[in-house]
Amino acid sequence: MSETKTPIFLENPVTTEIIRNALISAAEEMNESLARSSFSPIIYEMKDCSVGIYNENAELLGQSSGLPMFLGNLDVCIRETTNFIGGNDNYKPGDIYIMNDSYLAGSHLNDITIISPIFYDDYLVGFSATRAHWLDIGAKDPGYPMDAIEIYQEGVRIPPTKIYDAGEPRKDIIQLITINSRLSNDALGDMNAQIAACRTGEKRVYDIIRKHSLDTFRRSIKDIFKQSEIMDKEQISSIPDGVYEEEGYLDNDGVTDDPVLVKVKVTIAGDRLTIDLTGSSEQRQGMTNCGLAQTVSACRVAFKHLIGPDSPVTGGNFKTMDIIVPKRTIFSAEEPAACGWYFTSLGLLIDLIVKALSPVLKEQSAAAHYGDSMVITVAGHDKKSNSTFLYVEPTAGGWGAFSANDGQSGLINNSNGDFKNLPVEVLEGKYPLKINSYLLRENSGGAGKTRGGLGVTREYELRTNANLSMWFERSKTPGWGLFGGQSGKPPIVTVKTSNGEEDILKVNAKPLSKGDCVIVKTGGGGGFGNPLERPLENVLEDIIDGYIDADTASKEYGVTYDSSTVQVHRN
Amino acid sequence: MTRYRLAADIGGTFTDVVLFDKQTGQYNAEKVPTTVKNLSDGVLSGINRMVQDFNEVDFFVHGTTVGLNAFLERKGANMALIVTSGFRDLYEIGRANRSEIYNIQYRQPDPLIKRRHVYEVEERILVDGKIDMPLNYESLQNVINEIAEKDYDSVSVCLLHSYKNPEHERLIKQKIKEQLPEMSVSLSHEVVREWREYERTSTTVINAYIAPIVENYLSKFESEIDNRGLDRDLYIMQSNGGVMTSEIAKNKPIQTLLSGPVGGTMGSLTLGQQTANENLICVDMGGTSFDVSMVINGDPDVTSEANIEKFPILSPMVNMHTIGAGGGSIAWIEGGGLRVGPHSAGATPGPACYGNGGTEATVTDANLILGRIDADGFLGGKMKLDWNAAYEAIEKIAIKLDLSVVETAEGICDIANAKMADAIRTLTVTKGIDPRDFSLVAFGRAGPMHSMLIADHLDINRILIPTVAGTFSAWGMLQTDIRHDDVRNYVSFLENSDFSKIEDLYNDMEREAEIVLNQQNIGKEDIQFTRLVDLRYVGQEYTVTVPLVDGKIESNSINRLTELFNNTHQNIYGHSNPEGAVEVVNLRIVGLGKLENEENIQSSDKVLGSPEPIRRKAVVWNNKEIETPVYSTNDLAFGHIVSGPTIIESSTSTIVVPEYYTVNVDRFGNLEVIRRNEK
Repeated sequence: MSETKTPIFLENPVTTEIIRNALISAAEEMNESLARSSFSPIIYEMKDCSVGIYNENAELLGQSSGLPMFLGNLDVCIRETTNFIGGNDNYKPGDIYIMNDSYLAGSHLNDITIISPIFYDDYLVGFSATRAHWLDIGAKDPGYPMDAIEIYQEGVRIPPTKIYDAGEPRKDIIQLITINSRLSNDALGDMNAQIAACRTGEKRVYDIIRKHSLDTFRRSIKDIFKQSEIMDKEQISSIPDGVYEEEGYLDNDGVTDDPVLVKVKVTIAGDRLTIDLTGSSEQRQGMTNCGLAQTVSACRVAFKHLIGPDSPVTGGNFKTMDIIVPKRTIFSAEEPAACGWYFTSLGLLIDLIVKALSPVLKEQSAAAHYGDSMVITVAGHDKKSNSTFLYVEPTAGGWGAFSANDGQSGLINNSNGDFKNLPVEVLEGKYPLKINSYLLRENSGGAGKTRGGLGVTREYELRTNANLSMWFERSKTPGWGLFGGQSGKPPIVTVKTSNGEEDILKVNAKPLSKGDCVIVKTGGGGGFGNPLERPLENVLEDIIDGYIDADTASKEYGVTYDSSTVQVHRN
Repeated sequence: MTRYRLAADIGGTFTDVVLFDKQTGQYNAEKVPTTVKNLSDGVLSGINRMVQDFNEVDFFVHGTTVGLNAFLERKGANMALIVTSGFRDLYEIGRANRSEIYNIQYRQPDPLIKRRHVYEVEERILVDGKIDMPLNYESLQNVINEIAEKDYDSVSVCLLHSYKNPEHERLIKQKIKEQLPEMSVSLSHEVVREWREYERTSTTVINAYIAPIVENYLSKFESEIDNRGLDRDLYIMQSNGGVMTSEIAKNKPIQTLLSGPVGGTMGSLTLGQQTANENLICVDMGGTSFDVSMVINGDPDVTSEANIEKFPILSPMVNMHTIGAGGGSIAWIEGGGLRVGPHSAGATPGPACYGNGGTEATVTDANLILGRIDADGFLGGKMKLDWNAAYEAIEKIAIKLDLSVVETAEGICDIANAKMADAIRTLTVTKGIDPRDFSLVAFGRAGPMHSMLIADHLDINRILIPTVAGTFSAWGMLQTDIRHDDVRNYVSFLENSDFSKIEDLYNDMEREAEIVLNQQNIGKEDIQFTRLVDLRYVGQEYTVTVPLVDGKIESNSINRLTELFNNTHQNIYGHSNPEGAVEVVNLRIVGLGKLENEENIQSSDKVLGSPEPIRRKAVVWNNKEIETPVYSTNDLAFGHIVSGPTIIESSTSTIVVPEYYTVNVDRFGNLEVIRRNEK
């Protein structure tokens, strides 16, 4: 906590705090407005969206995001738009812009960004911005392909484009965009929801300024940024100076089987933090690429994971954080790289930054989780309802252990935020699938003084002929341990057909028949600390609850279990 | 002669008792300390102060937190859970979601049943209710043998698709009862007949978990009031806004979870009827809590699915939003800026001015420094506050900010009020309503202290403060009816659904409800049923509940039902899809058993003018100390008008009325506070 006195600030601290809270709340209202009026469940239920309010310099005032990876990735879009139209002077009240180009906005083309300038008495005072996942944006396959090798296969690419001119919709442009979606009605509905959310943001900012005056508002904003900067500097300064490096691999890019290298060098020097991704893989033919904007966002997420996860982010944050990314890597993709599966490499990047800094942030760190992606998709024709179905499920797995506790078992991965699995009873009613089991995967958590979380086992039986697509990851570098903890078990997916069994992790549109089964075993989280130091009673509890068996207790924890007395002792 | 109707609400710090005397038509209220060790002691001592002879009590309703506390403190039953084989971990995995998205050390709450106590039985029922694999008695016998060896209080059974076909769950209960007749067995389809296995299991497990604690408590309490001569049924406030007899509560303890706070919502409803306000935002602010609920178009806002401590509960409950602010919210410094909350000083040590060792500045301390509450007059003088301790706590913050102590104190209050208003505004946006169309009802000890200042931020012009603000939840419990809810899962396109099947399901539920209501002394003629249905557009996950205005689903009512659904969807979500196919998901009924609710006393003699203030004191308003009149609610009568700035004290709360507000006393003694236009 700072002991700094106020003279560094411009405005009364009470007013500043009221404005700060009001802006956070305004962003939440934008988010509620978006969720309330959107058409697609992926927005209103999975919260695959984010909103933010910015000042006229595109600095963040308040944000609310559904997915962690969407932390502060909208400012770039505002700047790109401003550059494109030749500066702030060219915005008019009532203008609305749209864009989705991966190389500018960072994420895949399905993520649509919509921004609107905010005016107060003829002055441009800021922007409201939203990003939301549209179900279909005209890719070669419905939704998004799993095997694209160029961005042109992934859908319509939109540079900064004006869709409302001074309050008037540009109907031809709007139609040009929505007509390219297989679900054009939903696309239009979601576009309107995003516009409504922007209007909510505009209105709230207007009200806040009217209540406090523009001068006060602007002074308070500066103070809010100052506070964030002070906090960042305090926190970075508390980390010992040094260079911290890590690297890891994705199994492959889905097209060729070569591992995809992610290399991280974090340098702490006083109150400055530099993240250098030099040495990470060149951009790949498969979809594991992303635009720079999303890489910056992921680095910020890692920072939030380790430092101050509770305090809201503002334009004052990250001023002492530099990110170095060479051109044309998986983290700075350029034409024609496909970016559809951008989050899988970013998920690994986040985990690696945490790992790199763990020696100096032991209490805040955690061993690796089972990894991002881990998606199973079943698509086909349901005879019963005579309609096409598309079932997409990101599967849950084990999270890494940390100093204070075991890792969580059976939890959704980082890139999917607050995503909820579909209940078996609902799933079986809606899709021609039967779930034969849903269990924790015993012995899959990495051994450690605190144990990694367990993955899950989930068996799907097809009740009709259908195509299977999957993206499972980290079989080569499973969720690693820290401080002597062991890795969790890697994922295994077994496909059982009349022709026998086959283990596969990635596949696009593999035809399966009614009665075939897919048995998914997701990875466990890494352990934390030396397993031999795990308290005996915790090992015993794990055996009694069946999280580990006696064999694992003996091999990994050096503990012998006597089932007749229900007691353990060191080997 | 029976002359009293009695309500008791046991809170964390205080137990409130409200008595309605039919002879005089007057309400009396007592606030006594909650006796944590034996909760009934506190209740009975409060009653004893007002009632000599328990024989004279005609009706006694009671809000209890014992079930909630057992759940929160993890002091419930020792239980086993039986599930379909292959699904041992459905309860532990839950929905696998991670609600704190920047927390890499996130942990789900520990399940109420450890994995070692979860048993699998071989059987499988499909989504259409067909038996895919018959119940394997050998596997069941193995489980029963294991259960017999352990010392369980109860067994919960939750099998896949049992809401559709409960046969296997029933067979399992039968087999257990044959061999272990003493064992209490809960079947998921009996607790809640809805799909979604995790939510149904969670509901069943919580119900069984708190059952023995609630049952013990109620039995003991009943025998104590019995000994004192009360031979009437004891009624318990339910989370859904109705009451039930204690016998029913023992079977449905889960309905007691929000037993206390819901009284305030139901009281607000009555207050709204008295003052012709159909749309209310109800703010209950205690020493450490801030609960917001709503009354929309004359009905309490009830949800069919709630979450408590991240555990889902499929049981109708008044939508109660707990916001992290209250009198105990702590002021602190971060990055050189002033913050208030979300951390709270809680009940212990509490605000610095409570003198229990708290040293951090809280909102209550700030109110004391500003003169808005009184060191000697707090809660009618029952609680003395330590002004010096409050001053010192705030001074520490003031020095860091380079502000005066008074400026800091008012700043802390301003920030807290603005934050509470922000939180309420966000809730209304979620619901698609505009707070300006609503009146604010303020109650609880601290509600009326902040209500006008919160309303100001929300542009709400009318604030209602009940006469008994500090004991309003207990008062509200006297204004309710007996309620019984039920639900059946029935999934089908609305258009080609089986209307006679639907009618059968409604009739089944109503028949069962009638039995339950009969047990509570409600005759058939006093029962009022409402039928509702959960609908959605095909492809959606969530549902919208709408009432059957025609009482039935049949071919000529479908159009009207669809239209009502489209409109409701439009209101809640801002859009509708009249072309979209509509799907039925659940059928619901609400059975109300009308209770005799006494006419609330009205005064006919209107007095004009203002009463005499009991004293004048210095209070800070907008950083200026102003000599402010202080009134007592005892001196207020129908017709009185008081203008702000002023302080009005009652024995249970303090009403802070800033400048620009006018207080009118209505014929029931409630305060209607209106913002004057001059601002």
